[in-house]
Amino acid sequence: MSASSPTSGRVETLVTACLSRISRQAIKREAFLACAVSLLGLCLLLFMGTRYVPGAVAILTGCFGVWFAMRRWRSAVPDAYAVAQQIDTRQGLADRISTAFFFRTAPAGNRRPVVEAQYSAAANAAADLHPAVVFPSHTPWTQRASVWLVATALVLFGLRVSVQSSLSFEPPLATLLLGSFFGYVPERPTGDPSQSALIDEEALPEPNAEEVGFSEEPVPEAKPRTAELPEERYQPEPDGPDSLPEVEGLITLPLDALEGEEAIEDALTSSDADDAGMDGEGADAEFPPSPADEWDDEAQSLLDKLKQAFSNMLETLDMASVDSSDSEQGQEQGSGTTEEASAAGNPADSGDMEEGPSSEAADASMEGGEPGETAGETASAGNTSGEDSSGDQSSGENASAAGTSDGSKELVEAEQLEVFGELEELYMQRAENIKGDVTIETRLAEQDASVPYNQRSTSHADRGGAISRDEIPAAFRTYIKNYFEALRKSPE
Amino acid sequence: MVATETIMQAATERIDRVRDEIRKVIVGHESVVDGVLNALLSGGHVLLEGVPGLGKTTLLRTLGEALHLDYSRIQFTPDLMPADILGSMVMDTTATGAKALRFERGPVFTHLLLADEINRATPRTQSALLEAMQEKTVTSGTVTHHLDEPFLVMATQNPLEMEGTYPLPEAQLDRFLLKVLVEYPARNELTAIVDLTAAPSRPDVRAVLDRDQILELRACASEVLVAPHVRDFAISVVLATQPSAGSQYALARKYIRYGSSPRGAQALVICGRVRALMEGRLHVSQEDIRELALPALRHRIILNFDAHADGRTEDDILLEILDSVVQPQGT
Repeated sequence: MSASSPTSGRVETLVTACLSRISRQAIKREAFLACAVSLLGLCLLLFMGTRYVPGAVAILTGCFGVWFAMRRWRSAVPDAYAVAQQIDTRQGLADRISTAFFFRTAPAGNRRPVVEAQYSAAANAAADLHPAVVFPSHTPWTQRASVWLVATALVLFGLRVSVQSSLSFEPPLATLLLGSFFGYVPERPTGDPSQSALIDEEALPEPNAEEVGFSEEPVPEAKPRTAELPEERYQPEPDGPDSLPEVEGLITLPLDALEGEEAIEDALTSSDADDAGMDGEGADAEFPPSPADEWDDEAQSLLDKLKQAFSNMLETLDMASVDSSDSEQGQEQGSGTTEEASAAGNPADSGDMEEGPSSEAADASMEGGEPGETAGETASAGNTSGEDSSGDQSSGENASAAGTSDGSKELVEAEQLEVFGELEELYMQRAENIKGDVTIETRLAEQDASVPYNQRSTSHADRGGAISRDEIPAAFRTYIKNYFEALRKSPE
Repeated sequence: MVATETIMQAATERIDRVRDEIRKVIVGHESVVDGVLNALLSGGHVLLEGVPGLGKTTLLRTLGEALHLDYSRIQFTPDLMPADILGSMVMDTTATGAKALRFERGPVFTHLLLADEINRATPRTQSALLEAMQEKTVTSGTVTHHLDEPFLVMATQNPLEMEGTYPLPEAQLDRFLLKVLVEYPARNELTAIVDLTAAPSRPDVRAVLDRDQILELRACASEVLVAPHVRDFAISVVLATQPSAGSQYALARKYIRYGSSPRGAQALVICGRVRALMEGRLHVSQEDIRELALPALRHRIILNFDAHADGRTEDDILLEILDSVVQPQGT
């Protein structure tokens, strides 16, 4: 078949047209794949928010989708010979087109008359074929996926816009939906300023930008809460981040205000002073406006708890120092009255302190002769008296306990021994039932699990030499010696 | 190109004429007839396996008549000696009265040789055919005699009576290009056979081809195109039967003890060319390879004990392998 034959190039034309069609379909499929991957990242961003999925991740997801699609596209487009084989397979041509295509594109020196004859038959078959028939267009799955992801992204965006007054991609959508429909605001983990955005800014009473990252604009209608909360009013620090936003389930304390025992005591003192109606620095502080009476009740209970926690902490710290001072003075003086010891140990509380319980506790500590050991137990008694000076109602109960024989050394030691006994029992039980995984580090080289062979047998002479060793009792040495001599003689 | 196309078409028509002549006597057994013709035009030999009475001898006799070729038959028995097949040196008296040794040709010197029940002969006698089948020569003493082309050995063996038989060694099995199973005829075929044999006269078989035309057909078959992907498919099928450690086909590893030799791939391609010519095509397709895989490979694989225990046959395993072999795409 010459080049001017009417069938010349028909097979190549068909193969080329099919190849371009396959390439277009692959481009379409992989483009939709890249789009789908990018939309997936966008949907993730809309759902999780930039708090958990940063915007860079979404951008990287899109870039990855493009790269992945291009890589797939390169491998998805076959060469022309493979396309010819696909034409044969799809149309049931028994490898007619592919054989003709291969031998037609082979070097001219390999062309034989049978090649031209076979090409002519293949060209006749190719004349009836159309690329659209051989490779019909179809909707790739990536296109359907992209459509679904677009719809999903629109839904997520709509939800986010509808539940937010101002569009923000920062909080997760689930948080917004829960807060919008059920009023649920999740607890923010402390130490993470970004968590502050979990709470709607409008619902907060008085935001403090330095502490929790809220809006820095002051609330003009804010009024002091001193009038509304006469007892549990919060006293801000004058020179630090002073406001304490009170949020449900969240207590945030300015760390600067808790640097030492004195600061805590000062804070409580000022709080007590405010309770008594004194005008201090805290009186000038502007408290956030109370949006509702329920909120005031909750804030009041929180302040109660906070105050109680501060009181307990202060008592513990204070009485520990008191008892240590008592013990030191007792050792220096050798003997002294309980009043002196009590006065020396707790001079700060000498004004309003009731002497009875603390003096008994001091006696208990002095009788023990070991002030270091009993300081902890006696401190609790002293603390109760200290609480009485601050007007705490629970001082009576603690005082009665300290005034009885609870502080006796025998009882204390008995309790300690009992506790130690339980601990020892627990430890022993744990030691009996040790369970767990053991990690053994070995070399990377091949392990030899076989046991090396050792020469276990010895000669008779060696055994004879062992007779005189101390392991063999003296009573049997003669008998064993005779036995081994008999063994030596037996081969002869 | 037109001349080549005409030659190819003429070759196909000749083969069709041979088929038609054989159909006058042999009812049904299209695959058997095609297998024997394929082996003849490919220059190979064919092993027929079937129970007695299915027309194997009749087929070869009819083929000899239709092709106008010499035909001989050897009934293999345990006491058959190699010299009975190949020939022997005999004492002869020359015209001058002198005595001389002369090689007396055996029945192997023919075009179509029917080795009937070849598995009943001893291995020594069976091996006497090895040189004749592979090299197309017979060596007697120091003299080598060439066999005339075309030379086709059509051996038969009975799968039922295995007592007192000597199964063909693998080396000899490998020399058969195809192994064709002769099945029982269908009902309509059996009816036609009965009517045909009960007729008062036997159908007349004409010689539609001669020796030279057969050799031309062989030359035409060798011109048939084999594309690389078709060749690769044949090679993949053969490799899939080899239970090597790196084989990706679990079936071969499980059931096959020895896979096909390279002769299997050669047989697939060579017979594929003839089949394509018989189908009127100038190129081999993968369908040709699939059709020829069973007769070309079933006697070239040896199953292991597990296959026999599970009741698997060579054909079952080859069909599964054919389905599992990935069709190559591209170059």
